[in-house]
Amino acid sequence: MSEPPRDVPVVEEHLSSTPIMVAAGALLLYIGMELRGPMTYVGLAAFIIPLGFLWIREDMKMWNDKFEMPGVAPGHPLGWWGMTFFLATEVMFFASMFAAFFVARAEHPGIFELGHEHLSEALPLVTINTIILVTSGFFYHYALHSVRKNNRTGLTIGLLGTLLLGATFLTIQAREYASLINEGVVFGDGGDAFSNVFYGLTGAHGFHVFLGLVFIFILFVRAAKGQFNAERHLAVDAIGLYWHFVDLVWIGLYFVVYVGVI
Amino acid sequence: MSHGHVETNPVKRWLFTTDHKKIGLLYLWTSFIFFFAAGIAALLVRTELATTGKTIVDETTYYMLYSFHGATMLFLWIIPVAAGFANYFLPLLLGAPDVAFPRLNALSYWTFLGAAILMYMGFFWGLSDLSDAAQAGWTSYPPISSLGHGQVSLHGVDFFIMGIHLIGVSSMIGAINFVVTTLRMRAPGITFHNMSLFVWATFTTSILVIFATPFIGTAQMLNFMDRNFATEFFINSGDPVLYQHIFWFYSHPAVYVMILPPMGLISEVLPRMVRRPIFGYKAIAYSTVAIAFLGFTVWAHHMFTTGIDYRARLAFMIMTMVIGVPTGVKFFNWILTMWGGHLRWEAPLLFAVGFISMFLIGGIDGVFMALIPVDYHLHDTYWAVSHIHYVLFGGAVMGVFAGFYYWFPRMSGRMYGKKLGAWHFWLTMIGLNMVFMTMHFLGTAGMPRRIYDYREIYQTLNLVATIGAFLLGIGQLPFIWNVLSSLRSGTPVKGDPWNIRQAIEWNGFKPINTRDGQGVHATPPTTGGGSD
Repeated sequence: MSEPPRDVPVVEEHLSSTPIMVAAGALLLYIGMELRGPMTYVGLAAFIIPLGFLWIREDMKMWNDKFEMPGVAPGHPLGWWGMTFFLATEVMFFASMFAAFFVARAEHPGIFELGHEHLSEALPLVTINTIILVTSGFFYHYALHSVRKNNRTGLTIGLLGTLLLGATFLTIQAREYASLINEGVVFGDGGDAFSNVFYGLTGAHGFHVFLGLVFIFILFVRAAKGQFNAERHLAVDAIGLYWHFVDLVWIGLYFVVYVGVI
Repeated sequence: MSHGHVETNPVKRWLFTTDHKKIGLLYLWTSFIFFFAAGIAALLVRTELATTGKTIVDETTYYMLYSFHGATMLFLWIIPVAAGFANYFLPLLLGAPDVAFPRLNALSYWTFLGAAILMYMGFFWGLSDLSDAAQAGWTSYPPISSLGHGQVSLHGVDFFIMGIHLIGVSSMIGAINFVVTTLRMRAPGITFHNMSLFVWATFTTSILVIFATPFIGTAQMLNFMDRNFATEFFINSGDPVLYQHIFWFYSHPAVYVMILPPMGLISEVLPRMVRRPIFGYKAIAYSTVAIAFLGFTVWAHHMFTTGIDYRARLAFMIMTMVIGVPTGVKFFNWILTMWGGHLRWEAPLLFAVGFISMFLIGGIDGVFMALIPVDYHLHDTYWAVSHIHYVLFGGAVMGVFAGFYYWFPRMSGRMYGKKLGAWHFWLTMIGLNMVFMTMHFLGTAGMPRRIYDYREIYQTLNLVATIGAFLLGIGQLPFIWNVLSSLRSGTPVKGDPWNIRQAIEWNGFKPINTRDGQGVHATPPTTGGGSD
């Protein structure tokens, strides 16, 4: 047998310990969700610490090093495309939840009519809340517009406005939940076909708003440090796509679930 | 990412790698291990069914075994093995330095492994007896998977459900990566009209994963809430058929996620092994897209017997038959590629021809079953088991083996044993026909699937199927031996052993020096001509 040549070049490898740690964290998170009790908190910590600190720290290091993947065609950066296709999965996730909503409504029209009466009482407040969330979208657009023009003050103000309005939206949503629960519209034990799918759908949206606020908070801190400029603001672009998407889902929710146009 | 310093510890180099080739190899090794584990489960199931009554295992264990077999083969073997090939070869075929998001790529692999552990936590939960593992089949339909409805346990099904959810996350991360890589990182000169057909298959599959996988996430999440938070999405006042709709809206496109990459491998292997350019490149590429698109319009053909509206049934029947058309387009193109070619009857071509002939049987079974009245008779019988195995074993697995033998020299730097390859093919071919053709007869005779015991009249055919299953199992031993021995002492290859000048994935290839355990090659240059 002939000996293979020994001139194998040693490839410079990009090693990272975070993927395996985040995946282990995800495993513990799911185990924690199943076992409950203290294990839930262990799981949450095991997932959030590597994802929220190690992963982002690594991102920041790559950002500082101006790391760029070679061989990419000109146009939107890779991250923008990644976010776009991630949002495609999100569209389909909400589509599946809406499908569950429509099926439940078709099968239990009586229960849904009762449920809708509860929602009608809250409709004025929810309308204001809708306007608040939509306005936050405009603030975000102002932030994005500013960073493209290298206007850092505008960026900071826009992000801060988005943050405050988003937090207000969540607060009002929580108050609405509280009053609905007082009226006996509850999730799970004691709930009905309407309440389960209602909380499932709006809760999933609320969770997305919450995540968006976390992202925007990070952007805000980075903007305050002066990290973005007209040339480098991929994160502002990508999170913008996400935030507008969350806005759009709410508009759909508002008209379908609360107003009941479809 | 640490730059500029070379890690010498091999454990760290594998655990922390973000290199697409290493991640591809991790995917391949892991999924092949699951393939053999699930294969052993299948042999146990077949042994149990060799005679009426109890043969070796009790009823509960039997349910666990077939659930393990089905779920593992689908979620932990055939989907990830395609991800393994895609990881290794997609960037090479595109002339890209790596995938678009290397760290997410690593995350996708490790999440897949975590999900696999999660799915089978139930096996380890009650160590005294194994009765805590999921027993609800790979579909996990409510109410059999609901608390207090089936006889299934507290944690096992929950872990299984969450494992499926997490593996969905893993495939979506991988799919986003492949789509963005294909769209944005093609080397100059490589376009959508000359890129490899395996890239077309991976790209289309990834689009399917992106648009379909969220649905299985929802199905599992709502089922989890039914089990844990007393909601009633699918049970009591809820609707178990809703679960089936959401589940199959993912799981029907998912069968194309399982078959399109092997079809892409065949389109890659066939022209090289018969020394002719592929016949009808565009027809094959567009039929891939057509299959993916139509794949979203046929899900309810799994549910003809659930009492859904007859107009819906009719529409789904027609769409299901329509999907045979683009598949047929591929078949004729493959046959015409071989027509008048110089056929090299080695393992890759053997398996490619095996794929074409066996998938033909499975595919025609599918059109057959799509007819509503025929489906009423055959639904949930061994006919369905036979159909899925002709499509997924005779089809997808054969395709994977064709691609594996074809690219084994590229991945290992060594040639496989050719005689063992032929033995592997013929034993597989005879074994699989013996077990799965027999199931056709069992199915038309009315033997239901997933049952522990059966009537005397099915005895002989079941025994034949079991013998065939063992032949099929023994047929995989030459493969294992071939891979393990060829990795150590196969003839080293100096370049493309198939002598194809334009095979882009061999650009920058240097044989591996296995002595120092380096599993990496030089990064290929980012320029290259079109393939074929």
